[in-house]
Amino acid sequence: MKPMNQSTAMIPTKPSFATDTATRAPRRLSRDEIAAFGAELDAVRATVVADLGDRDLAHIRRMQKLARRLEATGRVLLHVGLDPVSFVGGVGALSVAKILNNMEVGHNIMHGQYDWTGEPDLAGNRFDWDNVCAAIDWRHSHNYEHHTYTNIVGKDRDVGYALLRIAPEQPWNPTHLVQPVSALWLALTFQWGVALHDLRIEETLQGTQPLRTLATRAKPFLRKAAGRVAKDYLLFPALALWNAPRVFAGNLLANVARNLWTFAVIFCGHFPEGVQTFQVPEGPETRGDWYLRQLNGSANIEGGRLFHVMTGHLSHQIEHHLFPDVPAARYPEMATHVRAICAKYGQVYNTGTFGAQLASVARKILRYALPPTAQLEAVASS
Amino acid sequence: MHQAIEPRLARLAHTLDPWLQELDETWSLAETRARIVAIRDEAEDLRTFVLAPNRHWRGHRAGQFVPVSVIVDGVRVERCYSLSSAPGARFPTITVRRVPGGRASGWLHDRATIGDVVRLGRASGAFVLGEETRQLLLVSGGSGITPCLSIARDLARRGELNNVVFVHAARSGAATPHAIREELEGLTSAGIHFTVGPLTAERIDALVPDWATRQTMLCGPLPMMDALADHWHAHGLSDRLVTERFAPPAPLNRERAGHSSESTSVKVTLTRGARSLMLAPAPTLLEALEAAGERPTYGCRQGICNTCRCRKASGLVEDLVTGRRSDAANEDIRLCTSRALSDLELDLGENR
Ligand SMILES: Cc1cc2nc3c(=O)[nH]c(=O)nc-3n(C[C@H](O)[C@H](O)[C@H](O)COP(=O)(O)OP(=O)(O)OC[C@H]3O[C@@H](n4cnc5c(N)ncnc54)[C@H](O)[C@@H]3O)c2cc1C
Ligand code: FES
Repeated sequence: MKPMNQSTAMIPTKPSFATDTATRAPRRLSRDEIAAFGAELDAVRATVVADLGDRDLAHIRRMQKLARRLEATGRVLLHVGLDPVSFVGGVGALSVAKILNNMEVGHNIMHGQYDWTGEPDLAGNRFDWDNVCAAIDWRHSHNYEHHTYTNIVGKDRDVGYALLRIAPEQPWNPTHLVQPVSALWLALTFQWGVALHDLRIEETLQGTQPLRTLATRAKPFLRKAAGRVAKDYLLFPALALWNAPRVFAGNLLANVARNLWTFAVIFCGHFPEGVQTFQVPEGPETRGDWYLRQLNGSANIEGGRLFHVMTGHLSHQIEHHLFPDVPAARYPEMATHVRAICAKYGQVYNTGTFGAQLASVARKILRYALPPTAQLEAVASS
Repeated sequence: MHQAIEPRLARLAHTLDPWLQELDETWSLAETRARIVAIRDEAEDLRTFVLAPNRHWRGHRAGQFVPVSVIVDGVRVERCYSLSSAPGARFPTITVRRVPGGRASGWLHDRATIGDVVRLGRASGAFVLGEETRQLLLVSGGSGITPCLSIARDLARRGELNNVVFVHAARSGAATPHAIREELEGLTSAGIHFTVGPLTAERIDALVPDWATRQTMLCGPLPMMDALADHWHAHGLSDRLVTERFAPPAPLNRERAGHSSESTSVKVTLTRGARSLMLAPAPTLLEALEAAGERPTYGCRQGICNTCRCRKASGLVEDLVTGRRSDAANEDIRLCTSRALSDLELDLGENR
């Protein structure tokens, strides 16, 4: 074997590395090991891709059908019911429908996970979802930016969503003091947060993005959001006649429930303790380097089959980041192999229960609300 | 107006079609779908599928083909099939030969059952009757019988089959479609010849002495078609011969592409996905895109059915079939017959 030769392409930023994974640091791999690690993951991918077929198509069709039927059930219960039980049932069904639509169906199809089927309505670049975030914006910011530059501070704008400080190398500013509250607000309005995120309003405020650019960026969002808002808060309530307030409230609650759930799942995917953030790579990254960064930048949530489906299999965030365009329902079976490969190469496979990962994210949001210790000490001593 | 309505209808169909299809799988606001209502064995590895299309079906002319798409191993596969029924039939039919290892034909033979729903495109094709219908010679081999059969059935309906000669060659006795033969013999008193073995020029001479005076329509295996076309050509009668090819004229495309001096890779920007790819040299853009991992929609792969049409925002391409060069912005091109002569911007979204 060649002498150990540390990868220059991806250096974990030290503070996060030191504070978060003091107890279980991944082994540093040589160039050769990184290449071999990448090749093993490529093989896992190739095996599954070769096996894609009828059952994968049947799965996504079943999920679409389920989401559609739940949406109809939810809306009917909200529209015709008068009692609180049907209200709760309606909100529940509609929430689950929206979650399935956004996660297992929309997010996954928009990644091109079903492009291989050749089905025009499953084409990743044409699909649209029940969300105020315009599909075209999402494909750029999520599929391209976030998945290419995962957890690179300054390049992946999903690190803290330009609102929260969740890594020590993000510069602290006084607004971060209230970030526990901002996080809660972001959770409640998550779809709006995600949609507005793409407009880069903060860049316009800082003077780095011309107003005109903001206006252009805002167009697809405004069109999409207007349609969604009109549907949930004008059209359907109007159709419900005397039941309008009930339908309005039900739709609002379902949207909020979906927001809370997607926020929780997504924050557990990248922000629990132990997940690394990175500096802009120096020089080109190899496939192995990229795999390693995806692994170290993601975390999984443990759960049963139903839980995985309800998270759109983002509970397998690690596998999703390694294989973003492989049908997500295959992640559980791929996870077995990925874990074994990680163990073989001494890499940390960050996974935990939903509760544990959420608590871990919460701790981080609280910790990084405060300025770095050096700054604190400076303040204290003055 | 047409352009404004189409996307709106497509959007509406996108929302409503799934609900319609919960009730009946053939229902759709925009798509031509058909249910297989009967399956008939015509001969060894030759099967007829009787279709009940929805109201979007616009019919066909005798001799035309229709793109049929089925799901094979989770993948939508579209292939062209000539209609074997007469135009105007309430239940149009396609007749499919099993190609060894073939995806669509294999699925139709092994998996398709009565009640299954397939998707159809619009019928098209130029293998149709001209003005002169009486002094006609129809020559077919193997599954090439389908368009000829449609033409014969159409002529019979119009009482014009009597001066027509129909020659069909099967590779063996078992491959001879006997029921079709009997049907044709019942429609006319003479002129129906079903033979076994390769159909040579000598066979035609013997069976149809006046072949040179007839307008001839020919469809069959490529070697047979090439041999017969040479015969017509040698007699200076090429303009009296109309042919239909089922398999892509791949060698032709490749040969022409091979002559080109351009063999470097080109950069293609896909405007919908906001992505760029480097395409290695390949005979056609379709193959080059596929080699790069893209999955553009296609049908015939030989410049007939237009399924692969997409919008070229910029760049220079050459159509290998027509020889036409497109250098203007925002022109539609066919991926399967086009070759890139410069870097391109394509909107594959239009093609899906
Ligand atoms: C205008 C037109 C009309 C047609 N009409 C009919 C029709 O009426 N009845 C009919 O049975 N077919 C017809 N075909 C052929 C048909 O479209 C398919 O090509 C054929 O069924 C094979 O498709 P597949 O998916 O089964 O094979 P594929 O999976 O595409 O191919 C499998 C293998 O078979 C080879 N192959 C493909 N097609 C042929 C072929 N025709 N002959 C020999 N080898 C082949 C391929 O090169 C490949 O190696 C028509 C084709 C065209 C272009
Ligand atoms: S696939 Fe038919 S024109 Fe290209």
